[in-house]
Amino acid sequence: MFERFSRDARTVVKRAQEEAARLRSPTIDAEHLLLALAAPSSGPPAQVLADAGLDRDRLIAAFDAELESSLEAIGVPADLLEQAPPSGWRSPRWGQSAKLAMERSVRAAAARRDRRLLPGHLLLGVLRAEAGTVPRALERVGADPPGLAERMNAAL
Amino acid sequence: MPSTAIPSPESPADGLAAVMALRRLADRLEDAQVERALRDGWTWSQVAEALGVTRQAVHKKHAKRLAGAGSSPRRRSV
Repeated sequence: MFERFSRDARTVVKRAQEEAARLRSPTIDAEHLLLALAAPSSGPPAQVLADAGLDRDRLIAAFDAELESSLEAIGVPADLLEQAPPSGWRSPRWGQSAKLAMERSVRAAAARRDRRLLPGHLLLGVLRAEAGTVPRALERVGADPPGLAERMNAAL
Repeated sequence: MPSTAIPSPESPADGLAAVMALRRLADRLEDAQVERALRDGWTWSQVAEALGVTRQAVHKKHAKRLAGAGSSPRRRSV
C-alpha cells in the first residue's frame, strides 16, 4: 500500500506509530494518525487542523474526554482508568481504524488522479470515517469533519 | 444515578462507543493485573489459565512489554 506514499506521508505514518507507543496503546489507531498529522512538520494538514484550533494537546484532551464519557454513559466510573494507567513498553500493531483511514486516503488520491500520496490525503482518509473515536472526539470539541475535509481537499 | 440500574446508551453510536471504551479499559486492567500477578510470583501458565487464554497468547501479548518495564518474572527484583 505504501509505494505511492511521499516521504512526508511516510514520516506521518512513522510518527503515528511513535504516538501510539508514547500513549502506550496496544494498537496504532486513526487517532494516532490524526495526532501525527497535527504535528507542524506534516505541512498543510497541520495548518488545516490548526486553523480549526486543533493542536496535539486539544486532540488528546478530546480523545480522553470521549473515552471517559463513553464509560460514564454505561455507568462505569471513568476514574477506573487512573487506577490502571497504561504501563510498560510496547510496539503497537496496526489497528483496523488506521488501516481503513489509509485505504480511504489511497482512494482519495486515486479519485483526484494524484500520483503521490501526500499527508493531505491521509488527513482526508482520517476525516472521512463515518463512525468511531475520531469523528466522535472531533464533534465533541465542536469541529466539523466534513468541513475540515473540504478545506483539506482545497489545500491539496 | 441509582446503583442498580445500568444506564442504556442513547443511540447505537453511543452503545458501540461504550463497547470500545470498555475494551480500552479492559486492556489497561489486563496490563496492570498481569504485571501484578507476575510480580507476586504467578507463572505465565497460571496467569493464562486465570484469563482463559493459552500460555502462548498471554506471553506473546505481555512478555516483551514487561521485559521492557523490568518486571518479567525471570528477572528478580530485590
